[in-house]
Amino acid sequence: MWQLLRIELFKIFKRPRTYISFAAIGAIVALILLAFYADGTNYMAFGMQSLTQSFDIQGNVLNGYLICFIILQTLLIHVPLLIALVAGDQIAGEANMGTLRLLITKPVSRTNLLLAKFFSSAIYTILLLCWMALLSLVVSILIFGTGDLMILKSEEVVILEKADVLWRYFAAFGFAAIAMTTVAALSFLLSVFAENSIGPIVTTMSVIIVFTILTTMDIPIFNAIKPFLFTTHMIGWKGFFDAPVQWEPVLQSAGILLFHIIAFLVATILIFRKKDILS
Amino acid sequence: MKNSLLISCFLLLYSCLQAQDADKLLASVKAKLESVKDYTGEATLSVNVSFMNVPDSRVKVYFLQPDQFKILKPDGISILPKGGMSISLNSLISGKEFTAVPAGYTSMNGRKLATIKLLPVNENSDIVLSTLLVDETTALVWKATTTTRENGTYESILEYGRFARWGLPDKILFVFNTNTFKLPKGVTMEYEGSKKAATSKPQGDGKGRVTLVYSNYTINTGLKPALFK
Amino acid sequence: MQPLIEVNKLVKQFDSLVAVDNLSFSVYQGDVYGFLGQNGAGKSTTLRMLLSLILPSSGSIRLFGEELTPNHKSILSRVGAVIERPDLYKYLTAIENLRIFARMSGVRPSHRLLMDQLEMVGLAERANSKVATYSQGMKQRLGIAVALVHNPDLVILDEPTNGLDPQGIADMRNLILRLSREFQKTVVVSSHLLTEIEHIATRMIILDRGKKMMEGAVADYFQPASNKVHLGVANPEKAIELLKKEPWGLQVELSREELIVSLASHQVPALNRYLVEQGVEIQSIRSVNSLEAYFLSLTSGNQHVAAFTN
Repeated sequence: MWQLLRIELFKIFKRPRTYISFAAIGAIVALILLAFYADGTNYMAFGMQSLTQSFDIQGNVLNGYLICFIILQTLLIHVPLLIALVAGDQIAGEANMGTLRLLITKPVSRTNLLLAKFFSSAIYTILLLCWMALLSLVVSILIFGTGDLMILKSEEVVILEKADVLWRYFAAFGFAAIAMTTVAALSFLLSVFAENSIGPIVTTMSVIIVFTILTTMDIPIFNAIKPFLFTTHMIGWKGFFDAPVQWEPVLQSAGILLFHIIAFLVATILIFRKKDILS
Repeated sequence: MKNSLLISCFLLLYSCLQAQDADKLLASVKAKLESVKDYTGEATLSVNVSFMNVPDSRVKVYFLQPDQFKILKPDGISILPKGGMSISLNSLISGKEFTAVPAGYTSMNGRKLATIKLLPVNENSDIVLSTLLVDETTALVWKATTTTRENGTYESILEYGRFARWGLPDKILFVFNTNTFKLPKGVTMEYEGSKKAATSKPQGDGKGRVTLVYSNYTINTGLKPALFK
Repeated sequence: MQPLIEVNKLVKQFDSLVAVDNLSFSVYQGDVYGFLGQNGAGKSTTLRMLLSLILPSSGSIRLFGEELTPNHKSILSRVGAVIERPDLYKYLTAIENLRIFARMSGVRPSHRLLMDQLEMVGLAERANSKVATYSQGMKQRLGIAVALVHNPDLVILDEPTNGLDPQGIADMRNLILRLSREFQKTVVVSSHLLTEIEHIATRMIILDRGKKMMEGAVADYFQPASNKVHLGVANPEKAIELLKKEPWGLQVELSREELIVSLASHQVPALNRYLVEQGVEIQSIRSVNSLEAYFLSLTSGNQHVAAFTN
């Protein structure tokens, strides 16, 4: 199993497309940081307009912690595409390349092969998030310093003490890892049905976009189904920026996502074990 | 007729005398406050506003005559209602011209306090009316209610202790209206878990409260105006 | 002798299509076993079932004396395969591909051993080139190297000469013969070309629409006696007389104005010369293998014949 995992990781990290994601995240984060460095004060003045009309805000609002939050908020919606790019390719891509049949003729069980492929996708996902964390948190802090974190939500303004922030980011990135692994698992499942990777990538993104629209629209009939959509729980990382953290919904969301991961993975294995390899 | 004239004269004289008393009282309040040219206070700031979730924080409070006032959280963010300068009586009263009108006496926490209404002489002043409840013997203001053109009505309730001789309170409770304030609807997706938590919080009475509890004052050390820029 | 592969009443049904229909055959150690049939005859489906790529609808497959399904891990570690195009990871080099598949097969060969393997298929010089830069023939040879890297006892090659140029086809034939003779591997090879099987196989099976049409030793079907020569002549009576006499002494059949005699193909030019010398006017002459004749009977249209015999 360990051998298989190493082979799968070797294949992932030998592919040029793997690095598209790292480059894309690097470029986006660099652009956001540059924009804030050049014109951050104006952006903040605009963003907090409604608040500064009635309140005086003193202190360094535009610090590394806030920028990291803004980056996470803007970027995490788009990361699923980068995850699907690799996870959706795991089986469909091999089928398309014609290597899948060669893999299956090797003396390894299909279940082990799938587990190795899934865990390598999960590791890729986690490394991508670590890369994002490094850029958005470490680099932001190096450039903009730390400070209290002020977050504007639609229902309240939250200020978190400087010393009370960092652990929340670790927790948030941990949660994001679960959320993104859910995307990887979905993509992976869809990958079983296709013989080229475009299908699963596009389908994964379509599912996420449709679910996200349902989550965002405040319409009563949609509200009823919201708790059942995994996308509703994917932004649970924001829960770590409540004061105090509402552990129950956050842990519940994490549990629901983990359940999805396991369900997707089990479905993938069951389907793939019975699948005739005709590619 | 004769009588009524006499009564009128008496009333006029009386009210003049009373106004004179109010002016005198205001002068003694001012004198006490103006003895403080500047101060640096160390305090704990608590913000209690329904739509704000701000932890209590250690802050430094700076004041410089006549009306420079600033609350700073070193290394952090502090958030206060606009017009927060009236949190400080010093910046509210020092160096400003008012017409004082007496409005009788009232009792607060078993203390007999004189009520004076202050009307600013300067027509462009943001302050429309201030009502002070003053202890005549100590010339300490225990409660101030200020109505402004721009920012509504504020109420300050003060408690004195160690720094009473400078007219500086140990504790100020500052109450302001938040009814008119609306937070903008966020454009980003909100986490449902947080929403549930936020809506389950009791709705406030439409008023926000800020409490400052001073632990120490350093008075007349010669603060530089540049600090307030 | 215990067969290396023993297939019994194998059936594979895709929805309404029966791709493999009640198929039974045996492959013995040392065989080069040819699968012959047109496209869609069920060759690939059968070979894929042998490799557990496709699950049978019914029937049994035993390899090395064991049932495939529960023992596929131990069985597949003794099998090497190239199925259709030998697709490999294009973004990896030849040696990286080889190393990955060796490890998946449970062996960890040294760099030296991997290079030897590439040497055998003539790719040692391009060992560090990305497979994306390889020609079809090179990919095919690398595919064979991958199939052999773990030193399997059984090699399964599905249409290994597909898409190769004539030189590539010749190289592949030689390689298969070497595998059998030099390395004593048992080889199962499929093709839709009769000539392919004729040149390399020791035993063969012919499939049509999923059914076994015949199975046996190739030598039996390619005996000189089984070669029929069809002669079209202006004066058949004289020709029959000449053919029956010494030195030929042949049995002659007359069919639709054509004379048919059994004769090894290498003797056809001499026969031609003799008849011309004797004043027989030859209008047409063609040599038909009995297997080809058999295909004629198997398939209805000429298109099929062309596909099998070109």
